[in-house]
Amino acid sequence: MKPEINKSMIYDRQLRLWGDQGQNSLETANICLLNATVSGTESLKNLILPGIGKFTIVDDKKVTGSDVGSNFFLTIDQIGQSRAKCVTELLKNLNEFVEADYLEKDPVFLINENDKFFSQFNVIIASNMQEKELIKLNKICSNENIILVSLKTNGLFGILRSYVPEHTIIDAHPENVTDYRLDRPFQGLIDYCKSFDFSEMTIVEHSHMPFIVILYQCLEEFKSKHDGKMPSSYSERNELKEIIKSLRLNNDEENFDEAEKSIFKACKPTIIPSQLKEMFCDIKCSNINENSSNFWIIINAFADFAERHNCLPHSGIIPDMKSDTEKYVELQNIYRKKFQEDFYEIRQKVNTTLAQINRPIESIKDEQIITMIKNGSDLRIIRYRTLEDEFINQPNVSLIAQSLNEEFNNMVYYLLFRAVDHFYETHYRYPGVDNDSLDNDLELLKKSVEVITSQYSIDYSLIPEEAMQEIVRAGMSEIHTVSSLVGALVSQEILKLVTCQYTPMNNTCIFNGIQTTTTSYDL
Amino acid sequence: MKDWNDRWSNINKYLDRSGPYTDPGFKPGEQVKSFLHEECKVLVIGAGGLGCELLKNLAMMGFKDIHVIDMDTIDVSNLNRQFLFRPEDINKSKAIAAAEFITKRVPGVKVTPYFGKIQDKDEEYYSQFKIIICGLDSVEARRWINATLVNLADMDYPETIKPLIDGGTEGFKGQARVILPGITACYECSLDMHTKPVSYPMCTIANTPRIPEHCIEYASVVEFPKAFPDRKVDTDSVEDLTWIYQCALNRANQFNIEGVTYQLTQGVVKHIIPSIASTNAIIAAACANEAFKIATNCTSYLNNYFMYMGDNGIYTHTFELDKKDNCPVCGFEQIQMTINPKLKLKDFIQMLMDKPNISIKKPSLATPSKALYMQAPKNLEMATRPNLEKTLDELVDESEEVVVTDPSLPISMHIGFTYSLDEKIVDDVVNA
Repeated sequence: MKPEINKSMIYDRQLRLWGDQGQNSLETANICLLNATVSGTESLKNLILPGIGKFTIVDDKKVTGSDVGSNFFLTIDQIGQSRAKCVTELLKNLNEFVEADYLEKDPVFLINENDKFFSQFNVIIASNMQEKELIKLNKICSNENIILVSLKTNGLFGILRSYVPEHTIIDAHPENVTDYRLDRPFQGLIDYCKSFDFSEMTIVEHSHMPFIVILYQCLEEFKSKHDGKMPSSYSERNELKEIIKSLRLNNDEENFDEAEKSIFKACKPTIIPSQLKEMFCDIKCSNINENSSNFWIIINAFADFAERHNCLPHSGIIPDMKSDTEKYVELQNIYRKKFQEDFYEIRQKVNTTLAQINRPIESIKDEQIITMIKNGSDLRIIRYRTLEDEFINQPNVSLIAQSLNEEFNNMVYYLLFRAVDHFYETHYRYPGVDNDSLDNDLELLKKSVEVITSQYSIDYSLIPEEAMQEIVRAGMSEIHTVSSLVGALVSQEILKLVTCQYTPMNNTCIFNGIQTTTTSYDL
Repeated sequence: MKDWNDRWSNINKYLDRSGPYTDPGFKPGEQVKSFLHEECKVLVIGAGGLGCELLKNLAMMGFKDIHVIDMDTIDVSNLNRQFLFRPEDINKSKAIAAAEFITKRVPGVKVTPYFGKIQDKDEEYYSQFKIIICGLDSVEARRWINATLVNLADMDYPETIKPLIDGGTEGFKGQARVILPGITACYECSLDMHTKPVSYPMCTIANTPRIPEHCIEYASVVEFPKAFPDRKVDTDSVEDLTWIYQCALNRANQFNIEGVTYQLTQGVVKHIIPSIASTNAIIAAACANEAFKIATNCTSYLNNYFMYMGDNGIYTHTFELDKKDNCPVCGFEQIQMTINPKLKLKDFIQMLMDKPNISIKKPSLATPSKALYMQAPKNLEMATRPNLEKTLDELVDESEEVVVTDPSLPISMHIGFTYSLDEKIVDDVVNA
């Protein structure tokens, strides 16, 4: 008997990471893979399993014996058939909830002749494409607001590059965020903390008083001696510590331990993080119009809130702490009430904005606002540099030169990936493919390396000859483990980009399968 | 069967050619290829998230004789990443289903499954493999295989040194490492690197619960045993979990605590670690890549630890972990402990169980002259039980060595004492 199964059972282990909101975003992902290479196929595998909406493979090649030898999603009886079709068939068996399609066309042709084709997708994975086409594809993605991740492998080496016109992180999942507001307590918190008198407590009550109450009262005492100012130096924090110590009944009071340990965090002034201040000054925040995204409409409401209160709305979250149940729950409710009030203010402002731009109030759901309030201090936007900027307009020469001087770096292989592309543009083949021309290819590759290094005005001798020999040896082979690893890095970046959760890499990552290292660069 | 044309054309770029970073002993050509395809028998431990990936990777990298051990059966929640399984495979053996899939998909590759525990097999069994690759989710199993392979290694006979490649993942993070038993740091050397599982003090869950986890823990460790004194919680049983969930929910309502859900109950009771396909794929590929490099020697391999963190950008750290001289498995030196002589033996045993670099479940203790406390056999346990209430200085001289063993682990620890009355005596935490 086939047991009853549903999506939430299958997806349980991932829902614990990105929740229903993340899963819903993932299920709207419509992904296009250009070239069913091993790494491209592997990257799709890890996206089909967690349940994207749809994938389409574009590839005009026929399956070869070499393909079957290194691609798990091809079989020997498929040699000679369409690679797009065969890979699609085996991949779609991985998850019945995912739609699958393929197109037997050369991706280069589509990029050059039919760029409208790409507007149906929200993610493009470009595998093994040349710089020239990638630049064009990048322009299409920039106009159509599509996530583009390109990847390439060459033997034991791999590279991936992400591009999104504007990526917003709504839930970075940071660890240990605390926001006690003890430097600027709100009325509910003040009233609660003031309602206790430590001198009139039983020992049990005393040792179960939440450390926030302890800190509040000790801070009051401190401030009364310092013109109402919070501790701001090491010696002042020590003074506060002594006040806390003097309130102790004995050394076993864990709530007092917690209070002492939290001094530093509690004394840090409540601020608006710089990346939010930058967002508040962004033209997209100040100039809300019909085209504004939900994210910016909510940020606009945050800016409005910050102007009035000089802080962000409170998340309503406090950590577990030593306390009896009653007081912990009471304290939790005080912070939750604060969150409710702040949420109400943000919601009102969002509603006003929506009315101004003639959008229904339901177009921004409460959950979306709540998620952004809960992650307020970690909201971020990333505007990726375009490939045209990277390769032509404004190459990041200083970063490249500086990285080359570091002892263990993979920048050499970034330049070699570029040199191999230049080799291909020049000779219409890759270095090291043929056993008979290894020496000749090494000499030709050196010429390409010279061209690339001179573009950056970098000393050619910084590229070790051994690294070039190793690249010729690799011969553009698709080593399954490396393809699988680099493909999986791509999948993971796409998961983060699509769900707007966690922090994606910006913008290039190199994998070195000899040393088993990776390095990321903002190029 | 004969390989088809160009089957290995990709890996042969590395096996037919030498490179500048290759060990001077590497000879490209037929010999290394035939070793890889015909002789290099490897073992994969675990056919779960990492195991499925490992089997695929090894098969695609030219290993043709692969064995796999797993004691688990397939659960619906495996399907989001264990891609060799389909809904119709639920409740089948993972090892058998995975072996069948690979053997069918990749011609000429034979995967031999064993549906059972690693402890069922002896040293002779493990001796037949050239490399052992672990994709496990249990610290205990890792410690067992690590200690077994270290015991197997005889420095005078290089073939007895079985490289152990170990992978592990949690959410967006993971690690891959290479252990050469007896030569590099072993698993036990780094036991204290692992974060201890979350535990809640008994007094909190019983008297002052504050968060939903406290209520769930109380329901499962206090109320369940009260209601069902003759059996343990079956964490795979929907009935048991529903019972605990209801019980925790009632308790939470009574204390005005919000947030007890069935999903959270499952997570707390089963100690669920979130897991996704992409992280497993990254770590398994790193492990299989090392296996290929070790098997063929075509280039240098990892020495000896690769850490991956994907939740904030792509951050990895590759480094050499040091071997510990006083490692209870691969070291020769005593572990030195400064300890209060007035500590009771039972509290000392609890301390050994809690210490992150020792952390053994059922320690038996002896000095060279007498047994202090033995877990088994029963009559010896009875005979040594009164010692539990005695203080250390009544039982052991400061100059004596205490040997700690555990029936579930093939290791023995040698501890030397320095007595000091300044040391703390009690450390009373109940493990969740």
